[in-house]
Amino acid sequence: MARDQQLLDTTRDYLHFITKFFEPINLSARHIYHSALELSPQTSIVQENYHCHPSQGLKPRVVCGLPSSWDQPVIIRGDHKSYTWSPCGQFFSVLGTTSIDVWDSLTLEKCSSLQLTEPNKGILDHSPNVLAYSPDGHSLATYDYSSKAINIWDTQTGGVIEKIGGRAINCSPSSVVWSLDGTIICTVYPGVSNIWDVYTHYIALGGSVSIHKLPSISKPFLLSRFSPKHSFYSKFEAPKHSFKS
Amino acid sequence: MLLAGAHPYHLIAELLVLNTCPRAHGAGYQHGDRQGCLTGTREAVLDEIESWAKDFDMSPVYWLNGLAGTGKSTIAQTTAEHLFADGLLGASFFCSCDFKDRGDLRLIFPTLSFQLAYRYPNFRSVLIPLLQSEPDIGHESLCSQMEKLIVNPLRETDISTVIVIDALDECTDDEPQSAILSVMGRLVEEIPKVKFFITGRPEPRIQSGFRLKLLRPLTNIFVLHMVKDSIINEDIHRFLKTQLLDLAHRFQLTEWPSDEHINLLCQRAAGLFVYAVATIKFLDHRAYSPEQRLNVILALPEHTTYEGVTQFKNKTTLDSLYTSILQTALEFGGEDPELVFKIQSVIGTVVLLVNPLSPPAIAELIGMEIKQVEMILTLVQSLLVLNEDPNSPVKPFHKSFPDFITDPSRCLNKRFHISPSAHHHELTMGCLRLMNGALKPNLLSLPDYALNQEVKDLPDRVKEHIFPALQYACRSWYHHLARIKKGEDITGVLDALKIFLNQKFLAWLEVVSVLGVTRDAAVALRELIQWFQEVCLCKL
Repeated sequence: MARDQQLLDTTRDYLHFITKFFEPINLSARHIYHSALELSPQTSIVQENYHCHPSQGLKPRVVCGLPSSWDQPVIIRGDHKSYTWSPCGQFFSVLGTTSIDVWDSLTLEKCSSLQLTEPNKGILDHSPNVLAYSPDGHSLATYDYSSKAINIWDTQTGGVIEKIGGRAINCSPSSVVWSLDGTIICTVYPGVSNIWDVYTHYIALGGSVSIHKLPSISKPFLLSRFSPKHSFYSKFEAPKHSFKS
Repeated sequence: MLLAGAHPYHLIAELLVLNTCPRAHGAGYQHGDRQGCLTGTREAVLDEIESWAKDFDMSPVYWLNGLAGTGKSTIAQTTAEHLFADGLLGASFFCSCDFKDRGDLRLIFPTLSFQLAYRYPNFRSVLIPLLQSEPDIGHESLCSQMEKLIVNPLRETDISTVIVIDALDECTDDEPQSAILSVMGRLVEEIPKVKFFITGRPEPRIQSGFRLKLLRPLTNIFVLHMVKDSIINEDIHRFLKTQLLDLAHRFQLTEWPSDEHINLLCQRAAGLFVYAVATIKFLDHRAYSPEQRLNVILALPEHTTYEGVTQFKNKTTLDSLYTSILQTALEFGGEDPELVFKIQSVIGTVVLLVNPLSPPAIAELIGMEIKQVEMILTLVQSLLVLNEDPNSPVKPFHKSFPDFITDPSRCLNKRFHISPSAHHHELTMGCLRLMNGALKPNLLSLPDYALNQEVKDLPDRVKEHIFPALQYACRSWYHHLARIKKGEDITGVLDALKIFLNQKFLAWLEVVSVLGVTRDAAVALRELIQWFQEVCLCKL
């Protein structure tokens, strides 16, 4: 069993080696040794097995600055309800039970933490889209279960700048989406979608002052999107959704 | 003068770009050793196909649906030849599970596109800028392949043409509904001047593909195994008679065969052309008289084997024919277990190889003597495509033979049955043994720091140092390994793998790099990881 595990670890290490150095390996058989092996992490199995290969002879060697291991996936542990990338692609936000944490994907450090007023236990597990960046990246919309409202946070200051809906909404939406110009937000519930003007808190379509209810849809849908210029709005069911970026 | 001089260079540059398009080699109708229909047979169906192909008001897709051995590929071959003669054929793809690339779904559209570009200069002038701007297009999804490589250029150039795809069932496809058919259903209507002629067994995947809402109204279906028995029997009769008379002529036999013989054979074929072809191949043997051999076949009781789970027609005796051919061929082997084992080894290798190999390469791969391999192959030559030239690859003569011999419910004689898992195990060991023995760092003595493309004589060096069996082993070991099932004794494989990974891995990667298949290396390691998890570490 131990040997099987060892072979598996070796294979995984070699797969890292091939994917990381695909271009040099593909272009030149010789550079497997000159470049790929030479630049592999010090503790990698491929280095361990092939490091002092006689075929290398007297060649330039990299003596310092090598990473110590292959890039590892970063795991952020905790009870997370939702997850989203900022439009610029540098930050990602994680919605937990007590806070929304914003991480910098380059440094892998938590750069800010937006505190929720009450533990956010009510978010359904199948509501991965209740966290959404505005298109300019300055605001972050999320559903706050305790006040049953859509909160719009300022990502710079960490404060709530708008609160939409309040008690009018009585269950948690499955999805929150911004229009491309950042002035309209749509919340999606099983059967109903609400479209809000971010600044007036009223529905923008048709000038109605009450919440605009789109025709009821028999099944809950999880994803919805605005068209450019937000003149159209689409929604569709997504039975499987992934959290990968 | 300048223009005239510039032209060939321009053409060469275009060809170089075209060559970057990934494709299956030898997939066109003009390659391979398929024979067309015997003149005078299959006339009705050929006529129908021809009138469909020429009438552009008729549905754009034609599906020739037929069970194994009813003659689909032969009809497709004849159709392609006729269409080519009439200048209507744009491209053809004859799928084959004997060759890895011809069984790869993702190579169908790039190959067809490549052929269209060769055939039509207008098409070429649209395709080349596309290949230059999107060199990775051959690896995209089927849908975008068809859209970008076939539909857009054809629509832009307004070409009217016919495309032939044979034996769609021989492609590996994991989708429940044939992926290629669902893509075609979506896009075929955009090119009304282009027709698709497709053949395939009525497998659930293909049947449901043609039943798709989008494709169904566009498809003309011809069911080959539902043609009236009388017509088929007449065709088979004609085929047998011509071939047998030819044999009689060559062996200088007179008054042979009798009409009775032909009728009896015809009856036993029960509509399967492959039965007739296998019989003729069996009779045509240098060392025996066809008279004797025919008597062997006719002496068989009509049902020696139960035709259980097969999708063949109830009455055929194809399985018993195969059994008797194997029995006759191997009778002198007697009960010597060692020889039986070797025979199984050789047949199992021919049947399960990813790409066909020549007899010497097979011998090297399974560690047997060349003479012995050649001897065994000659014994069963009526079931194989075996050429005079010892260096040409050997493959089964028809897909129904591997289907038969790997299925324990059809091949009831244990002496002949090939268990895929056990033979993949043996082939994996062969591959690893070859690689562990022959691979070493810088096998090709390439200069330091050289890029592969800078080495001018790379193809020669490859030929010199990487012999065919080693090349096969380097490219296919993981394919065989992944098919070893749980329950086999894999200690030997693990020992060999350990040596391979710890000592030979980079040397293997060098070979993969010079062969230009680095992408496959990542696939190999992924398959290896999956296999470890499923077969070795499943308790974790």
